[in-house]
Amino acid sequence: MKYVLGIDAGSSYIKLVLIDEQQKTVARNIIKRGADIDASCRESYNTLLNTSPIDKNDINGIMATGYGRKQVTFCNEVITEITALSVGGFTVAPDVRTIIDIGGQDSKVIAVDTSGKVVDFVMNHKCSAGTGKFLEVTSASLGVTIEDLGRLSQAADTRLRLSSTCTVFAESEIVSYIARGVKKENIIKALHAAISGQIVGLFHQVNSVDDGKILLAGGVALNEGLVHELSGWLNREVLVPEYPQYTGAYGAAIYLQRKRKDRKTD
Amino acid sequence: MASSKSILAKIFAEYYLSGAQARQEGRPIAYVTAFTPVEILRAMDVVCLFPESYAVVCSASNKSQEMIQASTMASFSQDLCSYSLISFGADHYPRPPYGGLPRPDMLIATNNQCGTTFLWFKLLSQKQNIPLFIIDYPAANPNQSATRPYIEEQYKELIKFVQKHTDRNINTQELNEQIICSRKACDLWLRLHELNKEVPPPLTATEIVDSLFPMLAAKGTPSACDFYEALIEEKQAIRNENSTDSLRLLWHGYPMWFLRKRFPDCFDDAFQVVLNDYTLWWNLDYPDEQGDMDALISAYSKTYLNRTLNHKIDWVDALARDYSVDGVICHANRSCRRALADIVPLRDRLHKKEIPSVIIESDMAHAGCYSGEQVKLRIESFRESLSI
Ligand code: SF4
Repeated sequence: MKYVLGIDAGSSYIKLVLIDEQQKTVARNIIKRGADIDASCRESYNTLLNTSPIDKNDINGIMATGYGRKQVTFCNEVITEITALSVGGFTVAPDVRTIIDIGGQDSKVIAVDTSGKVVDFVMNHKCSAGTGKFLEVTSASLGVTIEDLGRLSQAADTRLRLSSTCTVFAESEIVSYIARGVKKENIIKALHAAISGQIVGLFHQVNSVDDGKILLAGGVALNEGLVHELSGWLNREVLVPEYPQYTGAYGAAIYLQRKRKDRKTD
Repeated sequence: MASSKSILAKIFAEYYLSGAQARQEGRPIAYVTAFTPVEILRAMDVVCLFPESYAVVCSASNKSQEMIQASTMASFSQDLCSYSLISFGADHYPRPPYGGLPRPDMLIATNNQCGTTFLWFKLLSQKQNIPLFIIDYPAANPNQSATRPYIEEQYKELIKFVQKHTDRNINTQELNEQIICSRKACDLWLRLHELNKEVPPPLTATEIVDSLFPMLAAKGTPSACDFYEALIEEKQAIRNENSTDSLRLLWHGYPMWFLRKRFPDCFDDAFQVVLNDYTLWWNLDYPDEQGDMDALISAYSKTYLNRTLNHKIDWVDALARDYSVDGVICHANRSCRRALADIVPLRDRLHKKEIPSVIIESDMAHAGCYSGEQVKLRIESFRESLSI
């Protein structure tokens, strides 16, 4: 059996997925990105090899994607996140026509056709509004972990509004809410609403082929409060794959595998 | 025939020396906006200088950020068009390129491109006490007959204004010749672009953008025509017959003057910009059959930015098909609200025609608004989506 590895060198996390010839995930690993992206990817790769029964010699291709893809020195090829996410998202849910990814540094909305080909995409503007960074910074000022945001937001009882989507301004607004004794659960819900508003703005800019399903990728999709909020803003169901944070890495692996198969049949 | 390169160098040198020379010879100098009917002024012996073009030179000389910073000393909002900020900053900047533009005797502004230019000139007029003339162009519509007398009246007033401030009269024969030359230069300019309908295209987008200068600085003079004739001849002579299987792109909107190639460094023979529609904004419509003033009225009231949204979208859509492009890159230029307005409806139209497009955000002259990695990521992603 031969395997292919996909690496998503994201701005916050490094994600690795190893797939077999049937496109089944046989191993995965995630670590926080260090200052040296290549070293972080190697570390993650070693952990993956040490914790799975797969022999390194049976891995016959490595494809990197993500913001740090060009820094990965031990991969065979690189592709952009737009391609990787479209392939990964479409493979896990072929009835999906829109893939939303809220990344650490940028957010994207990708429209695919019935064959999974990208027909349009838009990415967030040049600031961190509407990205994972926004949640990271604002949750820190609330003194809660990112992982707790979803659970806490379920206990909100009032709809608050953040008047700015700018990360810096939002942070100071949060500080003033805290000073006024506002419940942090309500502030978290307001954060989710602010991010959802940004994503909906992107969603309406993208030219989709039809009203097919929407899939949310990226680690932020593990936040059930945000998924719920976004679904409300879009007024549509939002699908979340079993391992949303690995969608890009999985797509990168699938892409390389397909490319190799195509080459063989040529 | 002289080479296009040597003619261009001469046009450039003459233009940048024209201010100092005019001072020596006692000839009047006017600052004009990009779509001012310069033929009238030049036929009255007025030396025309373009602050927008000067801002382009400052940006291309890597001075935009420092000069824009200098404009904050005069309390200008950083949200303004970067051409105006660079121009304001030049007054507070120690060593502006070419020593800055010489002080003008008059200012002529038009609103056939945006609402910024005449306010910018108004401010210059107030601060430096320089006489200002503004030409108001109603938005271009198919029935030009209604607005024609209104614009003609303003042209007559412009002539009186120049006479009053310079004691110079209009030379109608000279005006005639200027218009004929302008018309010819526009025809050649269009022909140059049309060479790129070929596969593979003989010109890079950078070469075309860097050939724009004579359309401003030498418009209405034989040297502009000489330059374009020479360039067309050179490009036809080296036409590459090998067909390549490349992806052809249309770049919608402004180039990025601060970049060495005026466009991000992500293009190659297999993925190339064959047309930047911005440079065709200078292909003005001087109708053959009309008299002189009518030709000028037609040319300057139907500028791209003065057209209706529908007209602009139809035009770009037609260009995309004429130049057989595979995709369109839309530059959302922070500076230019007038140009920004057409991007979303244009993308909708292109989508209906199954022409893929992507938006990138930057600025035409302010290097500080350019995020290279983000722009490249969008363009690389677009390339992949077109190739797969
Ligand atoms: S860039 Fe736009 S706003 Fe600035 S001067 Fe040109 S037309 Fe006007």
